[in-house]
Amino acid sequence: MSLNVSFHTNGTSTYGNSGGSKINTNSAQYKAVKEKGWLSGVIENEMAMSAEERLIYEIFGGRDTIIKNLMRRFDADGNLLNSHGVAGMDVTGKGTSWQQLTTVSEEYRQKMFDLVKKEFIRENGVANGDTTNRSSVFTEYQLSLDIDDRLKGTWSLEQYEKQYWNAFYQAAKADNPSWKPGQSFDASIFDSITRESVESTLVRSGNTLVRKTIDYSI
Amino acid sequence: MKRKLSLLLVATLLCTLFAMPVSAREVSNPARQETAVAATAGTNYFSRTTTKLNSLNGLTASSTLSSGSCSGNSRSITSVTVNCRVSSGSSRFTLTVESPSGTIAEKLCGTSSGTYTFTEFNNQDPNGKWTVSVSSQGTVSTVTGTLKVNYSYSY
Repeated sequence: MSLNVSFHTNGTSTYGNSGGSKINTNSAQYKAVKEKGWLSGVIENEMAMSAEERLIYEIFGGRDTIIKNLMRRFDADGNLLNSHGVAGMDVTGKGTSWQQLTTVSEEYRQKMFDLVKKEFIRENGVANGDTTNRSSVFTEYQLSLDIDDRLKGTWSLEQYEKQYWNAFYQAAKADNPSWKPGQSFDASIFDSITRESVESTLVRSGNTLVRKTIDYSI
Repeated sequence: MKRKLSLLLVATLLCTLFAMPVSAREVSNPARQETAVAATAGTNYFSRTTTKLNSLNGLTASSTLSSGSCSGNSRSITSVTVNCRVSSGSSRFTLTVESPSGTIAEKLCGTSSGTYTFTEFNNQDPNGKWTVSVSSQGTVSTVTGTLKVNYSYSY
């Protein structure tokens, strides 16, 4: 199996097996594989191979096949895609600096409110990871945003989600102080709770949303 | 007269003895009720293991893991770790973790087993489906990962 490497005068270069499609080393996806250090990993693996391992490696397609498959994890602009195909969600090495508040559209705040209410009633106030559909609302919302706004938007929508859940919890407790998550309740106690009524009680505190506290004296 | 005084003293002592415990109970009750309705907080975690992830030639092998039921009314991740048990003969690989809200973080991993810590997910809600993925940087990487998510919660 021969490796064909060619360089073009316009600055682009390609390489690949003589029988397969070439890899554009100027593509954003290739550069992303390189910048992530994944290409270095491929080369380090090659250097550690015995002659027999090298033979098997080449039979299975060698470096070209691996790089092509790794490049599929990025979009055309070199952004890492998550399992739902959404770019711009990579937080690697960012710590918690990506957790910033931004404006969330009324449409998606309402969608999240409706989902939280539905799941709170269905699960009797228990956060159930087996049945929740929260990932779908986040994915739909992320795809509605520009790529650069997706992380901030995700964090902000999660802040609203937390406060919607809290509002239903407080209402259930107010109706029955001995109520605990998992115990059934009369869902009609939520009839007066709207997204607007919950949001009217919220204020920013750093990068989070919190309920307003009212100081009063008698 | 002395007899009457003695009887009065005994009666007073008896009344004091029987009355005191009742008074103490009455005072302590409101305090106990106050504690029962106060907010509670704590820490918890869940741990889930992937199937054996076989990544061939850079193709991604994934496993979806559910948090199950999470404690608390409000939750906040404090740390995420993945313990990788790497099969003998495996190539270097990329380990990727995706939270229920879709944020992803990855690590470059060697050919031996080890535990990797991710701080990028801190403060998020752990509730929902997590995805752990492996992408080999060689011919094959076979990895079994155990995701552990620690979180704090409050009611």
